[in-house]
Parts: sequence; C-alpha cells; structure tokens
Amino acid sequence: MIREETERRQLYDARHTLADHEVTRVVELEAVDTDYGNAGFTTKAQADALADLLELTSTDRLLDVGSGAGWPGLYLAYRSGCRVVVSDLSGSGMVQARRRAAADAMADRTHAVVATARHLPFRPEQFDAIVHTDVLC
Amino acid sequence: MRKLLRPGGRHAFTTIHTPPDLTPTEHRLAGVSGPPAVAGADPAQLLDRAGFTDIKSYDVTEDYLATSTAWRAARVRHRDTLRPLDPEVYDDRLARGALEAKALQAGILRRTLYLARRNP
Repeated sequence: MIREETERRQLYDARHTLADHEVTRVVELEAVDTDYGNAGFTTKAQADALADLLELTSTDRLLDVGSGAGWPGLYLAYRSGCRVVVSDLSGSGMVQARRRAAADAMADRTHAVVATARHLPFRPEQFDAIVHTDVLC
Repeated sequence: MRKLLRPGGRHAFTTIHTPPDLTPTEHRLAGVSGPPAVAGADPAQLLDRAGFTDIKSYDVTEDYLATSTAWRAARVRHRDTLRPLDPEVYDDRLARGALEAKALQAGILRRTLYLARRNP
C-alpha cells in the first residue's frame, strides 16, 4: 500500500467512526436520502438509476469498488437480489458493511473485502457488473 | 476492472473531473475545490482503449451541485449536535462544501456518469 492510500485509509476509518453517530445518520438521510454511512454524492434516486442502467438481476454478481461502508453496492444488491462484493480501503467501513448486510438478511450473498482499488484480489471474469462512485477522482 | 468482468459484463461509474480547456488558474482552483484528486484523463477514451463497447456518458453536474448544497444545508441545520463530535472535521467539511459549490457554479468542476460493456 502506498503512502497516499495509508493516509486515506486513516481518514476513511475516522469518517466511518463518525458515521455511526445518530446525528450523522440524520444528516445523511436529509442530504442524500440514505442510511448506509454514505458521505458521498450518490443519492438514493441516483442509485436507483444505476440499478436500472446496470440491468441487475438476482442471478448477477456485482462488485462495488471503493464502497466506503457499503454504499451503493449493498443497496443495489438489496434491490435486485443479486450477490455482491463490496470493497474499500477502510477496515471499519467494511465492518459496517457486514453489519448492514446482516441486518438486511443478505449476509449469505455479501462479501466485504478490504482492498485497494489498484490491487483487487479477485480472479478474472468473476463479475457480471462493476460499479464505483467517484473513486477515480 | 475490465478483466474482472465476464464478457458482456456492465461497468457503471461516476467521476468528478474538470471540463476541458480550463486556464491554468482555473485548473488549480478546481484542484483545491473538489475531492482530494480531481480526475484529469478522459474516462471515455480510457474505456475505449481498454476494450469496452457501448460507452455512454451522462452529465450529472446539476445533481452534484444539488447534493453538495443539500449536504451543506443539513450540516448547518444540525451544527449544534454534529460539530461537537469532531469540530475539525465539521469545519473542514463546511469550508470544502462552500469551495465546491463555488467551483460548480463557476463551471470548473463537473460530475459525469459513464456506462460501458465489456466486449462479448
């Protein structure tokens, strides 16, 4: 892991710890209409549009790269019934993602993986769809 | 990403970037106004070179501005309970949000949604 990624991991871990507070969730709901610990710019309405564009079905396997605490990958899987792998630099984000998947009764079709986007630890041709929101910026 | 997709697999992503033809001053301003590293390369060209087909792009900058404004308004509304959690993070997010909104209104930051398919 390069130094920039280590710094970002620390920053994201701190953010996800803050996202656990009730007031942070209230602010998130008001700003982007989500309750996943999402601090980004992809609203629930935009995630619905993504699900339609990706034509996700229950037989698909989806990868969400740079997913934070699981947004929007977990929601897309919840909506479509597909299997999902969410990945992020942040270990605490992935802990929250696992917790959310269990709460939504989809732990059996969810994997949360701590990884950098530069070195994704997956075999070739494993996924029917890949999504990432503002990871390239 | 391409090699992880099955043939015919779909790839969708958003990216925050600068528009083409900015002056060096505007480019610098965009760099400090958006996320930590604003994308410079053209994703459509990268997708094409990587062997993706059916490449489509949608400008979602207006939504970005609306969401940025909504974040800022919600943070201000809940200042009394939110800021004590971490005053440094709160102040930083509010300051960055103001810069970001200014850059979006000035047209020096954009957000685009890309959709592409891996060659069957």
